[in-house]
Amino acid sequence: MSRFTKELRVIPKAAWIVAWFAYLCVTVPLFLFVAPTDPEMGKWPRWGQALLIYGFLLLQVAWVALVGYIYGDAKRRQMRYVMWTLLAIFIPNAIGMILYFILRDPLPKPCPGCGHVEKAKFPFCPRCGTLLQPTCPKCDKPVEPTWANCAHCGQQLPEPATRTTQNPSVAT
Amino acid sequence: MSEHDKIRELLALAAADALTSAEQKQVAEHVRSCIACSNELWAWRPIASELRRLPTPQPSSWLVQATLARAEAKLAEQAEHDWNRRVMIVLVAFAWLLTIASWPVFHFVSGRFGSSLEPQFSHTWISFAAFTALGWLAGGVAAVMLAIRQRGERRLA
Amino acid sequence: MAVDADVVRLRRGDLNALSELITRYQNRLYRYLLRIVRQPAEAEDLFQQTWLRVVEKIRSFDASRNFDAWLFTLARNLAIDHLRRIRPQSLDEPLANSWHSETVADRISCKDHTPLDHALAAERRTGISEAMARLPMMYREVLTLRFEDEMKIEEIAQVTAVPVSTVKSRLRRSLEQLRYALEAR
Repeated sequence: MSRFTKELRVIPKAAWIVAWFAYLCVTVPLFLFVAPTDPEMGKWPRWGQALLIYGFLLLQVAWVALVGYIYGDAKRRQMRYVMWTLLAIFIPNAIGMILYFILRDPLPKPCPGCGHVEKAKFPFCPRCGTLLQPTCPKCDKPVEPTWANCAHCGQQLPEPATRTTQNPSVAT
Repeated sequence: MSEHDKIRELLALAAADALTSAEQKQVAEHVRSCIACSNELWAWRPIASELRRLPTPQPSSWLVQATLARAEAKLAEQAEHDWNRRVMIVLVAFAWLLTIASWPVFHFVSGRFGSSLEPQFSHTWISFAAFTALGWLAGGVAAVMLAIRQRGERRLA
Repeated sequence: MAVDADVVRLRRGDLNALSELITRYQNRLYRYLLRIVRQPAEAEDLFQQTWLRVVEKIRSFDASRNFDAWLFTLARNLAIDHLRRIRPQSLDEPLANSWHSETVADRISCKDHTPLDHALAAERRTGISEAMARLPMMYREVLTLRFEDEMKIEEIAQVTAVPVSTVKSRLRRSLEQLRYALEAR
């Protein structure tokens, strides 16, 4: 399955229903009633009118699908999904959508200890305390797997294959 | 430089198998008649053969695994980066499409309802530009607000 | 060639292709880096960095080019940068203390050699290994690429970024210095 189809599944089914429903609600009346009577478009051949209306308004389907994607994606990333969806809808010309993609949080992984999903940036699970990311042995800050030395304190890091994310002793 | 000296220079390279076929022929011919050079050539043989048979140093047993783990993470990072870049390009193109598409829609809609508006207001490029600028302004304001909020959140983390 | 197929797969992000490539070049690449920097820990670190660099740059690698030469060039650049930062003097001059290689099993298998030959050869090999470690880096490099990797002169020229004539003259001078060091013992 390609990355694209995987991402498409994030769009809630409701969004697709709304998208195509709105598409039909707009294109059919336009084609049947407005186009023939329009001073400019009425002169065009019927297939030209159909092409313009049905083709052009596919942009609307894409737009609604994108709004749906932002809703689903922001939800799975534990972000304020209502706020982001509204921003995507009401800032014109898809600028809100661009903003979302620039500012979105990384995908969180479920906690290996209890399965709870919390925001990606937290190094510990808030429910069971399991360490979620490998951290530097000296300064305890989270480190990336590609690093050879800690970017915060310079400590040389052990090999990623041997790096463990063990349960720290939970202080009571 | 005499031929003898020239050949002497080539002898080391002969041991390394690094001569051109012409040079090889030259050396072979000379060595047939010159004992000193022939001995020299033979003197190089053991060195060359030992160099070829130096034991291969072995790295730690986990080197391949560790390298793979790191490289895997890097591949994933890159794939993510590429995907995000592609999404960005598509989105920006989409945004421009919508902007440009909004102008005839604007035109069309205001044309239908132009009678209820000021004649100078509808059908002018200024209204298109104003609408586009409004979109960018709203986006810019939202971006600044979100960036401030994000920076505030990061400082607390 | 199997390598080219793996390279194509790697460009598409195939992890197994990467694993196969790393395993295939494991010994050769490590050996090359070790001959240059002469410290096993550093050679291992550079080995990892080289492959990270490969992942970074594989997209811009023209698949019709020689992967071997490209890989070794990447490794070489990293090794030289590393030496410049840590031990800049070792780039031109021999190492002050003799560096002794790890112990690895004897590799002679020819039946015509007597035990004495074996012993002499083993001693000579240790001597060669030590003598080589004391040569300047450019000489060690060209010796290992030619004799241990059996790279063609043109490929060596590509990897070291010098003309073929320079490679040949380095080869000749390195062999002469090596021989002089051995005979002087």
